[in-house]
Amino acid sequence: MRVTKAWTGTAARLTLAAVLGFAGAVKFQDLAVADRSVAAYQIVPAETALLVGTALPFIEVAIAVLLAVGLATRAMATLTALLMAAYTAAIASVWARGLSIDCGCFGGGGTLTSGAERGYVIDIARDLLFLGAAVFLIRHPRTRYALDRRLLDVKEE
Amino acid sequence: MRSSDTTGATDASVREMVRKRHRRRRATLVSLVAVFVVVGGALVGVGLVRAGDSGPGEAPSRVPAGAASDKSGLVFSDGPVRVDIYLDYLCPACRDTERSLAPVLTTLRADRDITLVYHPVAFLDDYSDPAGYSTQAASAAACAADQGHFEQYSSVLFDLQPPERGPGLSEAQLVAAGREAGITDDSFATCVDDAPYLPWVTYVSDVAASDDIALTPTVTVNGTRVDVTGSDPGAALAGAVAEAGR
Repeated sequence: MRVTKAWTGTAARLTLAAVLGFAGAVKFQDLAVADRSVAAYQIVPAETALLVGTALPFIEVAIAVLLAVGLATRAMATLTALLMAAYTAAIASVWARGLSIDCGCFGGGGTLTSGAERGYVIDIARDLLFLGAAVFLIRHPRTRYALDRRLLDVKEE
Repeated sequence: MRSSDTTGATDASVREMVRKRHRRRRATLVSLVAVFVVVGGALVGVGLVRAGDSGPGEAPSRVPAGAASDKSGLVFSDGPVRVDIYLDYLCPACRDTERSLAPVLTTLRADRDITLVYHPVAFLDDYSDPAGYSTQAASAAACAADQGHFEQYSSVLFDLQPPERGPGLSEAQLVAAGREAGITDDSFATCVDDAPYLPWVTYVSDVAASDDIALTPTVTVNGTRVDVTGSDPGAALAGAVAEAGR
């Protein structure tokens, strides 16, 4: 049972690392677009949105790297869970306010003419799935092939 | 011997406790360092991006007729209150804004209440396929400005607005739209074809972005944003202008 969890944890860790790494890397291609897609949510003032838009890809990539090597897994899983919860809330808020935007989850972003609602359902479902993976990691942070093992389980003389 | 046995057992459990405590301490330390690295990394990253962001490039040498002195927009009318309008020809909400503000703008201009500055920005270049329709359309609108028909042409372009993720209007269609807007001069077609105002459109977009304009449509009155997404954008603008002019 423990072994299965450790392997499941590794899968969750690597999946989240891949997703966050990709999401961050794509945004780096055009930070101006990333800024604008945060602004499109109209949750924070435009000036703050520009700051958040630039900061998010850095945060995503940093978490992705640490998750990939398995360092501070529980802390990174907590950050990921917070991030996913925030994304879910943001999309839900946009939906509730009747705005029509592209989530900009993986770059792009901005206003949309049609098909936004279907997009919201998919985006929220996906973010909740990742949130689940992050919560699993918070509960079972010890996974296979993680640097945490080397760092935390040192033999004491 | 018996006593040493008990001591051994106690030693083992004490050692285990110590080991666990050390492990916890290390885990906390590693977590804190990691969170610090993530947050610190983001701050440094934002700082570097901000520092490397040289703002808009050098102003282009060629600008359309009616360009503002700082070349960041097109000036129409002269009045005590400044109204800036940022539009992207591919943005559906911009079409609605343009339509709903038109009558109010006409009145305000007739009364010489406002200095109206249009900023035809290209934020949605990635939303056409092939990319770049926003820039192309704004560049054609600059050509129309040379003919003194910017506003008429804008309104025609919004009427003909292509859907996002589509190819956008072709060059021939952009030229034809000019005729519809009342442009008769043949040089307009040449201008749309040569597109001499592409650098200007990029500059207008960059200046807007560096002025923290992140979305279209954005309307500002003396630099303060006016919400034009409500049910009556015209009244919102008229109110803001009246307030500013007081």
